[in-house]
Amino acid sequence: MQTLFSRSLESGAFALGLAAISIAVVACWIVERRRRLKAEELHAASKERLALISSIASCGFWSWDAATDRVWASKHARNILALDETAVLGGASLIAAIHPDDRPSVLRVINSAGSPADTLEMELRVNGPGSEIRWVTVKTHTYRDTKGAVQRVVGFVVDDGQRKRSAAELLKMQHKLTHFTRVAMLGELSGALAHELQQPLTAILCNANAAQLLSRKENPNIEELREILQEIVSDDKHAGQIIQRLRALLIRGETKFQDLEISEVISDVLALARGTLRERNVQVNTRVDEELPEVHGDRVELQQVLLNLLLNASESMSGNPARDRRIEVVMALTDDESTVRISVLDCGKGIDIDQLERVFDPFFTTKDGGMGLGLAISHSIVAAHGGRLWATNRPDRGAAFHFTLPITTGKESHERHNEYSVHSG
Amino acid sequence: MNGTTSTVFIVDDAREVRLGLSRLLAAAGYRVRAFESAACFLQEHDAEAPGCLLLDVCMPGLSGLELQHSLVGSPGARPIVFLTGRGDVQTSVHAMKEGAVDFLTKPVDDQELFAAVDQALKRDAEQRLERAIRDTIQRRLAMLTPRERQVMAHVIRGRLNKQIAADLGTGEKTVKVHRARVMSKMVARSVAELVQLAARVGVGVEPALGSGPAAMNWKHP
Repeated sequence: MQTLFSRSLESGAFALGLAAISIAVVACWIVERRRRLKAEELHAASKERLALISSIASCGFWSWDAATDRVWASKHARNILALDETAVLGGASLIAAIHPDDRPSVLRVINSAGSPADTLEMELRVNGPGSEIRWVTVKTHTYRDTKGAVQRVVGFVVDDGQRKRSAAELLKMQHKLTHFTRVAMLGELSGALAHELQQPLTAILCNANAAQLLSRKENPNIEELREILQEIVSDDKHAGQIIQRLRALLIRGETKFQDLEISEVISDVLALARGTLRERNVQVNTRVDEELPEVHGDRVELQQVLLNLLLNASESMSGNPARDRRIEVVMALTDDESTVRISVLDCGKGIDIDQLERVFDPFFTTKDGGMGLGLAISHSIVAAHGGRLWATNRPDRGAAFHFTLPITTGKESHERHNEYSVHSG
Repeated sequence: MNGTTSTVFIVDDAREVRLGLSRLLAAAGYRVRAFESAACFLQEHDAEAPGCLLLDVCMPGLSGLELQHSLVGSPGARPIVFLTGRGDVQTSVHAMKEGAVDFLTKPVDDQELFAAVDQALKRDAEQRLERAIRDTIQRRLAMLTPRERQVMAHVIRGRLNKQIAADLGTGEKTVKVHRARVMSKMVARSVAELVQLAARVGVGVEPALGSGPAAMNWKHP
């Protein structure tokens, strides 16, 4: 009985144990399942997030395992590098994606990177679909073991095309706007320019008529006729110069940086504005330092800046009596001898203290019918030249506008090189 | 072509235009003098020298219009042909009102230029002749005694010696003598001539404002 009891007790305990185990197993399974679900969810979420970041930043991720030489690359990375979406990739596939011209230098950088956990950033070209060449930025991080051997390289790749394209687009718009304001400014000069053009044309006609009269005489004075022809030639050239100067500013050409004598730019502008300034009874005096070094810049754009400052200065003196309208243009090397400073000084009404900065804001104007773009454009032109444009009031009266331009130093050029740049760090 | 000793005075600040105009007018037989500014012209030109002005409208300093204005009524006044770079109606109207002969637009046609200059020189000659005549009359008038002037004033009103004597409270013979002296000093052969001479210099009778052709009620002095 006891045995039976104890047996039944045993069997009960066994059953209980079995049940406990089963419950534990089921619980474990449930926990594990939930954990796995959670992990899968997390994985899916992070994958989703990665894809989102990828598409927003238009960048792709990849990693390379040294032991297996296997490459994992995200969908975006494969897109950018023009690699098949499903293909199994190795290190060689990545190298092959690089443009042949850039490949040697990239290999050099990879192989020379010595210290552990190198971070590299490179701008390079890759072969896009077809014969397209894409500019990309690649950033990498290299993991090494304790002995320094490379274990894994992870990186991301960004297509610069989009960025470069919008930057180029912006540049083009700026260029258009610059040209537009220049043409508007030339409109201001057109009346006086037409007048100026009529002088040589009048002289040519008079001389030609005179020559006709003289040649009809019995003994025409050949020497006088020769003089007349010479005069016609020089008057015609003069007319040509006027048109040439105007044309240079009217057409929308490419920005062309070159070494320039700033005094030459000034005299071109003064020649162009001479008639207008004369009509406004404005006298201009120019003071130039002897042996002023050349500056590096775009002739037309610098002419635009100077013309803008001259016309503003003459405008500001419109309230002065006719004999009291003087502009002074001063060009001098700055104290540190790295820039040339050009100042346009007037004796007009000056600028309100609180507007000294605002005059460079787009659409800021004090002129009737002014667009308020002239100074804003001039400001950005000077900035693009690596200089600065600012305004002050003169101690006695009138305003002064100054701008600096870096002087030419040897062969150095400000143009962008079409080479990729490598920063390691 | 102009055979007289008249001169075309050119004032233009543009060297090439000055030279071209001078050459053209000289080739056509005109006497020419050129000045680079209105100030130069005012300083150097001889008011007595017959001739006309060929003047640029738009010049720095004293403009063409300002020079014209400053010459009006002065001894140096002379007919002006304007040259302008732009056909500005307002300016041309202004210039013409102040007595300009013509207003030409650059580049100027030679025939138009010659025609305008000829007209200006002709007008200058006429004006000079008129001035000379008036000066002569004035000189003659200046030789008259106050009494002779009084008598002349009556004579040109057509009054008889008897009437004049009565008015002046003197004898008819005396008036006769004065009248003869007036006629001789004024170099007038008839009363009609004397009236004409007097009218030239603004000395004379004011026309009656009365009605009808027979209005003869002259005002008494």
